[in-house]
Amino acid sequence: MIRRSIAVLASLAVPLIALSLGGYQGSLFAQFALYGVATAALALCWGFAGILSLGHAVSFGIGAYVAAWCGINIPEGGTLLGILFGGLAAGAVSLLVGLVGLRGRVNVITFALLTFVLLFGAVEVVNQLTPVTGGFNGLAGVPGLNLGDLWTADPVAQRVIVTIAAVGLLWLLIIVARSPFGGALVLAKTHAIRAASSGYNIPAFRIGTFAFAGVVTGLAGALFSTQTQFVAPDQISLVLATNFVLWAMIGSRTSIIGAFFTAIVISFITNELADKFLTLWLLAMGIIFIVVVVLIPDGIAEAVLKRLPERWRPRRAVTLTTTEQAGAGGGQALEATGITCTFGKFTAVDDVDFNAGSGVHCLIGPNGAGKSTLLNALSGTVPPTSGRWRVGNTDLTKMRPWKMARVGVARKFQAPAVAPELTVAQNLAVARLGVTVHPFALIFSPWRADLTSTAWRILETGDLVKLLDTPASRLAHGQRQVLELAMTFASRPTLVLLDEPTAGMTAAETASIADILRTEAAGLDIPIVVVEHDMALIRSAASAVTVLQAGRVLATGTVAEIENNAEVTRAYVGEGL
Amino acid sequence: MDFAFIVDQGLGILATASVSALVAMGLAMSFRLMGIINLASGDFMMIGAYSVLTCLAIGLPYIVGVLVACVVGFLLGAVTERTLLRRFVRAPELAILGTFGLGIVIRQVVELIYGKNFQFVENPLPGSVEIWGAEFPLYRLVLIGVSVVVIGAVLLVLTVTPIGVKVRAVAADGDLAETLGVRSGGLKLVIFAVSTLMASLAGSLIAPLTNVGPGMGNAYLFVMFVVVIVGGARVSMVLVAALAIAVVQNVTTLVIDSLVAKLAILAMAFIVLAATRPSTKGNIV
Repeated sequence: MIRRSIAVLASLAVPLIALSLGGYQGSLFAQFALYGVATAALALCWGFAGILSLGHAVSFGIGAYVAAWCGINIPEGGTLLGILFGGLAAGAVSLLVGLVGLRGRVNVITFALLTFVLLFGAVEVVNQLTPVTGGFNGLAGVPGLNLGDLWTADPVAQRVIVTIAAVGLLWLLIIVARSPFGGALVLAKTHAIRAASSGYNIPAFRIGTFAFAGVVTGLAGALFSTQTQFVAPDQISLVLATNFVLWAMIGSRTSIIGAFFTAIVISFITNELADKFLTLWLLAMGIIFIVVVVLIPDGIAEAVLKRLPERWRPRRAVTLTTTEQAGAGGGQALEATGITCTFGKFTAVDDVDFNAGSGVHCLIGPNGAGKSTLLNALSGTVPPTSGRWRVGNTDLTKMRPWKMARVGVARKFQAPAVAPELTVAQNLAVARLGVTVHPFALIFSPWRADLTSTAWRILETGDLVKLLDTPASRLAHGQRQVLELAMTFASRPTLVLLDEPTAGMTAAETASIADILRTEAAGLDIPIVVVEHDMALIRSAASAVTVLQAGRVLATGTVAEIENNAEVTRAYVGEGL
Repeated sequence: MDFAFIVDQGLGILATASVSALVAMGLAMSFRLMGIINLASGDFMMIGAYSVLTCLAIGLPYIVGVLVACVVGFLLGAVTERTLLRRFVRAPELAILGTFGLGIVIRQVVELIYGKNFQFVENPLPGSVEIWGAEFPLYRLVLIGVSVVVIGAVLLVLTVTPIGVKVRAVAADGDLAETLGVRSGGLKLVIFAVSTLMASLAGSLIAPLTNVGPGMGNAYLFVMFVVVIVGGARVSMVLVAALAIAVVQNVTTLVIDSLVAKLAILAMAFIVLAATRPSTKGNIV
C-alpha cells in the first residue's frame, strides 16, 4: 500500500512541480523527467530482466532524432506522428539487438559489450551523416508540441503535457515491473532454467522487455526533442549512456521509481555544477561511479527499504487459494524409449527405455550413472541426442521446457532454485501462473494464484505457511528445498520429475515429504519420478525402482526386488559380497 | 592495382590487426579467467601513450618510454585487480562498471595533469623500406614485429609452460583448480595485469602514429570490443577476429569511407553473434 500511495502522490506531484517552477527551471524539470523515464526503462531491463545495456542512449537518441527530423521535414499534421515514429524506431532497433543478443543463454557481459559497440556505431552515424542529422551542430528549429494548424502548445502547456506523458510512461514501466511478468523476469535472473520449467519462454520475455524498454525510451527521447526544440549529438552520446547507467545504479535498478527520481535530482545537481567545473565534475563522476559500485551497488532506494522497520516495508500482496484436485492425472503413464545423451565422445545415457505409471518411481544408481542426465533429458533442459518419450497421448520429444511445463510436466532441480528477491508467496504465484496464463495476460494479471492442495500440504510440512510474505533470500537451505518442491506442485501436474528433493532436509522432514509424495502420487494419479539416494525415502514412498549404471538400465522392480538383486548390490559395493 | 599496392595494403591491414590483437588478446584472457571485460582498456592505451610522451619530455629515448609504459600498465592493472575487481567475483556486471568508472577517473586525472590538447610524439624511426616494390614506413613494420613477438610469447606461455597449464586449469574450472592447489587469485591478478600491460604497450606503440590526448582510447575501444564479441573468449579466435576485422575495416575505408567501414564492422559483430554462440567455456587457446 505504501508503495502505491507514494506512486500516486508522485504522479500528481510531477506535473505540478513543472507548473510551479519558473520557465527555465520548469523546462529543465520536464527534460529531466524524460531522462528519468529513460533511466527507469533501463532499470526495468537491468534490475528485473538482468540485462545491462551500456548503450541505452541509442534508444533515447533515435527517438529524439527521428521525432526532430519528422517535425522539421513533415510539419503538416503536428508532432504526434513524429513522436510515434521515434518510439517505434527505437523499439525496432532494440528488438533487433535483442533478437541477436538475447536468444538462448545470455552472457550479461557479452550483451553489455554489444550494446556498447552499438552506441559507438550510432555516435559515428550521428556525427558523420550530416545531411540528415546535422552532424556536430545537430538539428535546430524542432517544432514544439502541436496538432498542425489546429493547436500549438504554449511553453506552459508544453511542459505540463510532457511531464504528464512522462508519468504515463513511468506507470507503464511500473505495471510491467510489478506484474507476475516482472516476477518471472526476476526468477529468470537468478534461475533461468527454473523459470523455463515453470512455463516461461524466457528468451522471448527478455527480448520483449528490451524492445518495450526501447519504445518507452524512444518516446521519452522524442518528447525531449519537442521540449528542447533542438537535438544534438549529446542525446546519443557516451556521456548520456554513462549517466543512464549511473543514475539507475544510484537510484536502485530494482526500483523503477527510485531510478526515475534519482535521474531528476542528479540531473539538476549536474546542471548546476557541470558548467562551472567541467573537468573536476567529470572526475567526481568517475569517483562517484566507483564509490557507488563498491559501497551501495544496490542503490539508494534498496538501501533505504532495507533499513525500514519490518511493518513499514512494502510488500506486494499475494492472494493464494487452494483447490483439491484428486485424480488430475487420469492415470497417464510416462513412456520413454531409446533415450541417449552424448556429450562429445562421452555417452552419459545409453539407449534407455523407461516407463513409469502412476506412483512414485525412484531412479537410483551410483554417482555418474546418468540419473540427473536422464531427468534433464526428460524435462527438456538438456535435450537428448536421440529417443522419444510421451505422457499418455502427449508427445514430449524435443519439446522446449517451457512448453512442457504448459502441458503439465513439473520439474524440481537438485540445488533449490527459487528467486531470492521475491517473497515465498510470490515465488509460488510465479510458478503457478506461468503454466496456464498467457504471457501478455501476465502483465495485467493480479498476484492471485490457486495452488493445488499438494503444494499446501508441502508448505505446511515445511512450516512455510506463516512465512509466505518473507523474502526467499531469508530462508534456510532446507526451507528453500520445501519451497521449490511446493512450486513444482503449484499447478496441476501430469508428470513430476524430482532431482533429490529432500537433500538438506532433516530426517523428520524427509519422512513427511516421502509420505506426501506417496499419497499425492496415488491421489493425483500421476507418475512422480524421483532421483534419490536416501533409502529411507525410497522404502517408504517408492512403488517402483529403476537402477541405472554407466548410462544403462541395470534393473527395474519393486523396492524388495531391487534390494535382493545381486547385480545391483555388486554395482554399489563391488565384487566379493 | 599492382602488386606493390597489394603488399602495401596487406601490411597496413597487419599493422591495424596487430594493435587490436594486442589489446583484444588481453581482454579475452581476462574475460575468460574472470568473466569480465575491462571497459577502461582504451584509457590504459592512453596511459601507455602518455608514458612515452613523458619519457621523451625528460630526455629519455623512445624505447625506454615503451618499457615504462609496460611497467606502468602492469602495476596499475595489478592495483585495479587487487583493490576493485576482487570484490566482485560473483557480480561481473558490477566489476565492469567499476572499470568504467576507473576509465573516467584516469581520463580526467590525465587531463588535469597534461591538459586537454592533442600532443604529438615524433616518429623514432622515420623513413621507409622497400618490400616487393612497396614503400612501407619502417616504424609500422617494427610495430607489426613487436606485436607479433609479444603475442607469440604470450601464446607460448599459455600453451607450453607450467604457468600456462595453471591458467588453462583456472579458465576451465576456477573452483576445481583451486582445490587442486592452484592459487587462482594470484593467477587472476597476473593475467589482469598482463592484459593492462598489453593495452598500455599497444598505446605506447601507436603514440607516434596518432594524436595523443586524454580521450584517444575511445577511438580504439570500438574495434577492440567488436573483436572480443566476434572472437569470444578464446585467444586464437580473437586473433583470427582481429585480422578479419582489420581486413574489413581497411578495405571498406579504402573503397567507400570510414563511416561505412565502422558500420560494416558493427554488422559483422551482429551477424557473428546471431549465427553462433561464442563460447566462454572450453580451451582458452
